Amino acid sequence: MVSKALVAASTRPMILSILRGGENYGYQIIQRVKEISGGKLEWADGMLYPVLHRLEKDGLVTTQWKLYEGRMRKYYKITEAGKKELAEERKQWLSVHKVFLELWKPIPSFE
Amino acid sequence: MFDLEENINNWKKSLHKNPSLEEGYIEELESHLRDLIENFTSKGMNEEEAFEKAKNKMGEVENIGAEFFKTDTKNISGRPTWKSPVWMPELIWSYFKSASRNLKRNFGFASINILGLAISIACGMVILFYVINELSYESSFENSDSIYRIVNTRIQNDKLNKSARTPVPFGPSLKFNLPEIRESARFWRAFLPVIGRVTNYFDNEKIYFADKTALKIFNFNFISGNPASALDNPSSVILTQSLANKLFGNENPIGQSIEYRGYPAGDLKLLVTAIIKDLPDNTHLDFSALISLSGVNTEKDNWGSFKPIWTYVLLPPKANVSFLEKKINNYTQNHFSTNSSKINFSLEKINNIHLYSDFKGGFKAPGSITNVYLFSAIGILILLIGCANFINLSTSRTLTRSREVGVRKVLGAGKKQLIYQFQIESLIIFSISAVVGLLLFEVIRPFISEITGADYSLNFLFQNGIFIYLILFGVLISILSALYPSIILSNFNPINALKQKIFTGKERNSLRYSLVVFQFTVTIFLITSAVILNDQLDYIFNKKLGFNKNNIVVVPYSKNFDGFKNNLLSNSSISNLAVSSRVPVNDVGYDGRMVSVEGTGDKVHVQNYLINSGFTSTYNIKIIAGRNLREDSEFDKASLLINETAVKKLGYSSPQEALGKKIYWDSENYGTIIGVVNDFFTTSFHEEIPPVVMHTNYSREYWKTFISIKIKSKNISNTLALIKNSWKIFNPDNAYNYFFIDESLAQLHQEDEKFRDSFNYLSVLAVFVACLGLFGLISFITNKRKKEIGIRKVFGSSSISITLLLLKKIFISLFISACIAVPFTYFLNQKWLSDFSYRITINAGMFLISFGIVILIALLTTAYRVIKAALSNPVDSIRYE
Repeated sequence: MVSKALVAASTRPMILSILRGGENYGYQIIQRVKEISGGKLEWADGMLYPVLHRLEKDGLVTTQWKLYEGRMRKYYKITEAGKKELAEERKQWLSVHKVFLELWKPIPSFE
Repeated sequence: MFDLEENINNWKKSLHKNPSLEEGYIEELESHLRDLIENFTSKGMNEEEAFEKAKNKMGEVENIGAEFFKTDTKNISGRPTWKSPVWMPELIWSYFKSASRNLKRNFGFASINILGLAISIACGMVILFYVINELSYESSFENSDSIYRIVNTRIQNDKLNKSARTPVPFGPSLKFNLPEIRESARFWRAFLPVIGRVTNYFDNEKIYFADKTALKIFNFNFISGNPASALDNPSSVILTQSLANKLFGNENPIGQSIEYRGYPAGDLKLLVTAIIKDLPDNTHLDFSALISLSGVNTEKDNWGSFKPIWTYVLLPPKANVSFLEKKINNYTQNHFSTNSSKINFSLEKINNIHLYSDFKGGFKAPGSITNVYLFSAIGILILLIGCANFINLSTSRTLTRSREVGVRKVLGAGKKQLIYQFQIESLIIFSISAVVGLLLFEVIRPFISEITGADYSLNFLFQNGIFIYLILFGVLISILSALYPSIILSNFNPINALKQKIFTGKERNSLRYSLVVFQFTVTIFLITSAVILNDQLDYIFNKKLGFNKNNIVVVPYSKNFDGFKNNLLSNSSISNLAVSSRVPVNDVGYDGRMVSVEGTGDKVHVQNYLINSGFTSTYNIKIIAGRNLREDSEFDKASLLINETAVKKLGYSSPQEALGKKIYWDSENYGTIIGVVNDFFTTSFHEEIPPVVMHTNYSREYWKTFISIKIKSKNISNTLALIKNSWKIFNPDNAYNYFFIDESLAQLHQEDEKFRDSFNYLSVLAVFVACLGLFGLISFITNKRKKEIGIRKVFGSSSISITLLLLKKIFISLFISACIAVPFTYFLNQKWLSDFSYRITINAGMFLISFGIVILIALLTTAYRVIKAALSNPVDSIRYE
């Protein structure tokens, strides 16, 4: 399981990354994360929505209600600002990633 | 049947309650929930399971709402405005303010509340001190874990006789023969000792003779002198600081000489070798001077004489005590050739002496663990009564405070905050009570110290962190007692609270009545116990002693007794004189013997009295068969007087039958029974009257210890002066000393008196505190039923019927309490009484007396409020409706 703090930190970039592939709605976003992480990343589903609304408020996504099989769904779509934000986030995560890759190389030493 | 739509609707409603969730948000969440449900049902779950699982997966509504709020607000703390803050230190000041305003406004109630608690706290403190002091006995000695006192048990006629007295040669010979014993030391209590120098003599000091090894066993607190050698010299004496001050003032006492006179040893000139600090109160040892035992000639004292000598031994740590006891008994068998199987020695840890020992004779009158438990229980009960009061009085104020609660709630106070507020208020009341209680304790401390003899200084509090524990305990009690009132108050519906429509049902009173039942139960228990206790002590104090205790003065034996006697008897104010080895108010000169009965060979343990012929007439002891000893001569040297108990124990069917029978002291010496006297008490009323054998050995001096003088009651001080003057004629160089038999008897039962006093005082206080609680309850009830009473009066109820109506429940509570109190009062008192050899039986009358008292107290407590309510003008109470 991924720790709560890490989940909280990574939620925004993950949502933005998923939306990069086209507009999507809450339920699908969660399903995607679950799929990719193999169930290791779990959110209380309801907690996704406050984050999505925050993204919308910050202008990183736009929304649209659509009728689908008789039910209203709210679709989220990434904006230019969102993409920029994602690129920035990505740069940061990759630099962290790079540090870890370096740190976790096999070390020539004996115990 | 599970209805999915209905459940989803209900779920949505719960979302609507959250102010952060707007319509659109909820629709989105609902859509999500439905997706989840579809997903789960497609996996084969039924609708109900799927709904439950989906609902869980969505998370707590509360949290979702809080997150949405954070998203939508610019507020930094992220706390929604409609939620009260968890931590608002600003409010504490306001709590203090409202608490102090409340105290001021309800001054009467607050003072009852505080007074009740303060009294409870003061009582609790007294009892705590008593218990701590009792439990700390012997803690001042380093080796206290390995010091033992040797005690003995005799089994005789299937009855145990336990004593701490040991034969004179016992201690030294044990140490000599049993290598396991590291040290052994004897303490021998001096009787009627006088100690002093030049013109400064004291006859009221506790003086003991001790082996020098005593200083190796007990580490007394030496101020000056050498602990290793202080008792080496036969004439050396160790003084306590207070006695040294009395004798020498500012002079240095070391190396000075003082004089002693008393039994044993007679007259001695002593050299002060050391000064020790006064013994602490919490040790069973008790002396102000310790004289070297090597100065006493003990050659004549053999294994058969059990003197008031106590033998203490120091064992190695972790010694095998039961094994050692066996060895001691094997060894002592040699010395009790004929009756060895009947005397069994055992070792008693000194830590246990004060509270657990039932071996008779010792330095001090022992305490008792039963009393420690008993007083602890009373202390806890009084504290509980105090808390019950507090709960009753606090909840009874709810009516007047409901408006305040309503306003606070409307202005946004949460339930938690109200609970905090009332907790802080209770803490303030408890703190004030604690301070008042401590002051009260300080005021009564000197009296308590006088009753108990222990010095209860408040320094006690600061040792071992007791203070911290007390504060924690106080806070805990405060929180627990405020729990119920604060929950009740904080639960009010603000609308009802503002309209003052708080109490609609009956159920609210059940706790209050249970508390009153509890208080009454304790009250009945305490009052009944006090009645029984006082009856029992009166009974034994007034029990037929078997002798006349009045107007008998005892003085030390005088040289030329016949001359002294004739001198005194020539005066009309003196009617009789007697010499004896013992007087029946203490165990000085105690002499226990195993005698065998002629013919049967039965061995019986008897107490031996050496007397002259005047003893029976001086003490007014009746001769019920045979004759008295002849006038003082050699004639009756082998004649015995025995008491009625001895007749039974020696196996004779009647006093007449006993006459002329022989009793053997050992295989060669015997005496012949010439008379039987009535039973008389020899020491404490707690002890059964033992078989007593009295005889004389007039030509010898060794046993002559006491002269008992029967005086005529008028002009006692002149008679006392007369006795002193004639005694001085015959004993010019010796210190004079006297005591009254009746005063000594009273002293003997001082512990019982202390117990009686303590119990009576505590009972009165407990009852008083309980009354305060009852007063609170009745005030509440009359207040609450004001309108009802008004309406009843309008419809024609009389004042009397209203009084009865108000008192009905009180009396029902009383009745329930009585039912609860009777069995366990009976049981506990029966247990207490079983300690006495001569005791009263508990009867219904005692309970009736206490019920009467309780009913009277209850009526007096409630009368004012009830009558005031019953007489009130209905117009006043129903005008506003």
